[in-house]
Amino acid sequence: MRDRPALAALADLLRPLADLVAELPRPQRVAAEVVLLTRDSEETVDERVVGAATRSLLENALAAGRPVLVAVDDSPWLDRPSERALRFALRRVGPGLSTLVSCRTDTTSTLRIAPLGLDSGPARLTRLPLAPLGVGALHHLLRERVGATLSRSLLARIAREAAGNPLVAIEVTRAVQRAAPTARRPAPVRPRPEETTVRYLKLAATAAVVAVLTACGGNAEPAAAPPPPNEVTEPAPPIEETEATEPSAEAPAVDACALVTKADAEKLADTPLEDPVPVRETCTYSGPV
Amino acid sequence: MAQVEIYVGDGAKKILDVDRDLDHEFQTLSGIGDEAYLEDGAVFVHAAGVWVAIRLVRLDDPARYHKPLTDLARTVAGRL
Repeated sequence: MRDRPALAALADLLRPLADLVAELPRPQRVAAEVVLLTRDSEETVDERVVGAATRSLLENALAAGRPVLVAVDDSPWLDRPSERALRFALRRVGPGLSTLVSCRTDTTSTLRIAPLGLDSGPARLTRLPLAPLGVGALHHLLRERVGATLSRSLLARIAREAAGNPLVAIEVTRAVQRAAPTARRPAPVRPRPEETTVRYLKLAATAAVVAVLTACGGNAEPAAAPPPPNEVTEPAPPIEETEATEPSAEAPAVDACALVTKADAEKLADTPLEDPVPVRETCTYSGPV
Repeated sequence: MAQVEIYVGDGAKKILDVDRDLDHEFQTLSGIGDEAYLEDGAVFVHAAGVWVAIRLVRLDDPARYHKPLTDLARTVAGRL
């Protein structure tokens, strides 16, 4: 938290309402101006006043007939003062306010307490769990966002290392492109070029995934600080081969692709499908793209 | 558009638990494995101590795929 500027997130959130600040009572106006950095911060601002100013700005916007949506992406990474001010305000703002908050969970946790106290207020809370993206979806995403058309084997590796996280997959793909500009074929370097690519891949992915495994909700600090951007975007030189290509000790005894064959999947979907893509304990058959 | 996803092990049970938490409607499938449940676009089967989830992504009426999902769950239970 220390490296995240205090109230930076709240400033981003309140900036569209800056025209309403002048109407606030003086203590709240001062707090809002300090948050928005339009006033010197020599004056000490009480956290409760920041929360009250946040609430007032949201309520005043609603009263003025503005549609207001508070959107917070990756809520565990909010700076703490912003988190406290939002928690205070969202519990108190009356009906009419829409709030959209995203947070990431690890794959083993059950549904947790909603962030920002959203499950403690009178408003209706809807949870939408988003599963990791599958190989098919990542294929479309990477083609659209990175312009990369990867080989099936490389795409499967990226999907596995990114654990279905689209942002990680994009960064890993860019790292692979830098390491091997013609990503469809292995770079012609050293004796086992494909494994060299995998080493780049694994190193880049490991750095990025740290940011994914954060808890959702509550006031707990995230499990680890996010990696500096250059750790993700600048892969280190190749290192010795790791366990990347070794079978996992936790691999299930049942092969998902053998359990449901391509013929089974095509019969179920009632349409031709491409060859299976196994990723850990899963198997995915996608329609032709 | 079509996609068939198969999950084996704890991940399969996790999907079932999440869908239950979300109050999805399930139909209990009797006579398939130790227990089996069907919902729109997915079937879950538990047999020989292993959970398997099969998810089908299609854009037309989910009810059309209830029987194929049930049939596949029965096949999978027999293979476990």
